[in-house]
Amino acid sequence: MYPSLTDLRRVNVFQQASDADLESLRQHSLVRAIEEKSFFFLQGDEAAYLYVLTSGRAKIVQSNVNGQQVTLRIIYPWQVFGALGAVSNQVALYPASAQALENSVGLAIESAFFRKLMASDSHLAFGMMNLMTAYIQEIQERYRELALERVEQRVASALIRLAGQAGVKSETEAGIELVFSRQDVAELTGATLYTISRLLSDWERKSIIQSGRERIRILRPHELVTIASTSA
Amino acid sequence: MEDPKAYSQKTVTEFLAIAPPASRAFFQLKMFCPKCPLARFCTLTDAMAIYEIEAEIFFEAVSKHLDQNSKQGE
Repeated sequence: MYPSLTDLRRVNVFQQASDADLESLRQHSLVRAIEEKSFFFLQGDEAAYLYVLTSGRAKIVQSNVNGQQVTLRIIYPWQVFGALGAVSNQVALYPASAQALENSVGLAIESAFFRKLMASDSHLAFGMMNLMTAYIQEIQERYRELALERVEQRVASALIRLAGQAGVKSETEAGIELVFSRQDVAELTGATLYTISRLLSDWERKSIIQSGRERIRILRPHELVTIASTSA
Repeated sequence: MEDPKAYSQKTVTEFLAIAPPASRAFFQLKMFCPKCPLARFCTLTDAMAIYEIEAEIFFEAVSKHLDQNSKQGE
């Protein structure tokens, strides 16, 4: 189902756009339902569409020639992803893949049409600039973490970031629940699965977290904050 | 605003949305909750317990900053 104009205004990039522009965006888009673990697009595909996730969750992953992959970011509903084709003057290729973490739906908007629309609607152009600036800031933060922080700090920071974005506090059980596997955390932090398992087991022994299959429950969030901010 | 103590069970995020100048009280007491991504999960009571700050001291600091802010606005 196509999202309403009201729903589209939940997307930061579209907040100030006119109704007429949002309507024309809808006319140049299609709705794509993607099953868990399938892809919206693959690294190296022509970036013909930019996407708005309307339900579910997705991850943006980049692989090297050996097939090792790193997760660049997690996408939640009403966030834009795959926007490179809309801001590049040349034929652009997606630099990473977008994989559904659960059954998801996205609105695929023609990149070429969006680029044309941005030229006449400065609100859309500023919205995209804000999005790109947020990406740069996030990547700078991740780079600092990689360059300066111990793996323990990086993993704690990643869990805090994920909890802030998507954590759920249960009414019945203690703690903040995250629906992510150890593999997801490894790919987000550039650590090996072995390191993640060792760290999470250690934190589990200290009752900072509980972890299960595809789930991590943060029992003592402030302990993680302390780990994330404590240098060696 | 009414007595800030009435908000003890509100989360830090909810409380700061109602009383933004109270963030200065947090920083004065070296509580870094206003910048924490997990602030939406912690109540004021949780935050005081984590930083081992007595309720009387915390709410006195909050009231002081809220008073100062309202005087500046007059």
